[in-house]
Amino acid sequence: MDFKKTLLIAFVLLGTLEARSQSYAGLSIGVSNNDTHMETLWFQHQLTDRFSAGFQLRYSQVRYRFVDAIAIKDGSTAFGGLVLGFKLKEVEKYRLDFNLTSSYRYLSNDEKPELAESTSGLEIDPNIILSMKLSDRFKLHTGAMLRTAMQFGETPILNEQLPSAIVLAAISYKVNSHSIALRVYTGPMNGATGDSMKYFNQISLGYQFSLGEKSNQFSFFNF
Amino acid sequence: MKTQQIILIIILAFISVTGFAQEINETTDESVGFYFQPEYSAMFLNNHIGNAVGFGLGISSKNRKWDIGIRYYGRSGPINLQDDYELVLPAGETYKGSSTITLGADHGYLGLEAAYTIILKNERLAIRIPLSFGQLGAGFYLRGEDRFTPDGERTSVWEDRLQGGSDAGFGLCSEFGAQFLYQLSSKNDHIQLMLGAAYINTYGYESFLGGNDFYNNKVRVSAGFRFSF
Repeated sequence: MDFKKTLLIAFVLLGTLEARSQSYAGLSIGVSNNDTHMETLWFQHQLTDRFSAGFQLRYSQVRYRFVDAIAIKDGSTAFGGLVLGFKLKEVEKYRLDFNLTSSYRYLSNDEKPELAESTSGLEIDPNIILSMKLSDRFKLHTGAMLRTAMQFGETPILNEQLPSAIVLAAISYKVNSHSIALRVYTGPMNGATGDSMKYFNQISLGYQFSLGEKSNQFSFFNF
Repeated sequence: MKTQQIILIIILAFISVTGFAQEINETTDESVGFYFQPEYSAMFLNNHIGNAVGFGLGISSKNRKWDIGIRYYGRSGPINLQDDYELVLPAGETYKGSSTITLGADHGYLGLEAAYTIILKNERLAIRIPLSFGQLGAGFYLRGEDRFTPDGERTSVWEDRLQGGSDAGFGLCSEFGAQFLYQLSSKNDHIQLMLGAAYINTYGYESFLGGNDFYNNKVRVSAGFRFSF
């Protein structure tokens, strides 16, 4: 077991040393029909020209979420997860990315004592983002997210949210190592035999800065 | 409802306003392409027009004439608040003290899509002919405060109970249509305005209130953008 761990760490270190050294860190705030407010922190490291990996932490105050597929309006959630970024294609001023965020979710129920006080679950957010350079500083981003969520525990609900047709649009502005972005999601959602929120809206404002060598004109975008 | 409309408008404004700004000469890309088409749809159903949001997503052939991908859209209840259905409960039966309840309807479609694009004489114009086949899921559900059930049971349990277990249904669905594509800038062939119409057929879908033909033999018109490269 120790040997395997050592080997894994060695590979990770090797990959990190060989890779370009650019990294990204940022934070965003937002609102959605799930949450009255949410705050997100992330760090992402570019491992190769096409691949990056990082982590994301998020806290939110519940507006309308589900415990055991029953709606609650008061509570809080905390997320922690891994983010994998894959560049699929890049042509001059256009770039196509696939990002996969897999987060553990802890939900604290402050409203209905007859339900579980808290639940844990998994949210998987694959998204495809097409970025277009509008000028040296502005970029337009559009794409789709297919969010999938599940609840674990005494009452597992594996289809809490099924992949749904969520459209995203964003615009980002970059000066040197700093960028800000306004991102909007909208689209129908389904799952849990209809015990879901039916439609999803989210708007968030994020700030990101890059560290290290500048490798290309497009920076990591997932905020 | 207002919030959802505002967010939808913001998205369309982002895409339309910023889309015009790109004025560049692109080099020819000889590899397999990618397309993404976000869209708003109006579905002409029996007694009303349903609002739907969705997208097409996939890859294009090297000559950019053939597309293959997925089509995904939904006529979600919260963006169709005017679309109410009255359910009269059997004699002696009530829900939260009422013998008549108002239900909303929603729907989702996921299918494979193949399309052929014909470039017209004016190179900024094209006609795209998509064919799609996949699965439809749709149903009728309790709205607003009625979603908070009197006994704390899941809403779907009561929806089942009130509609004889047929509150929702699944079926196969096909779409065939045409889309008109207009290149917004003569120097940028990656962003196009899209207007389209599709004829919908369903196979095997049935629900308590909607019947067999709720979505069958219907027309859907759509407006959106096509991003490709």
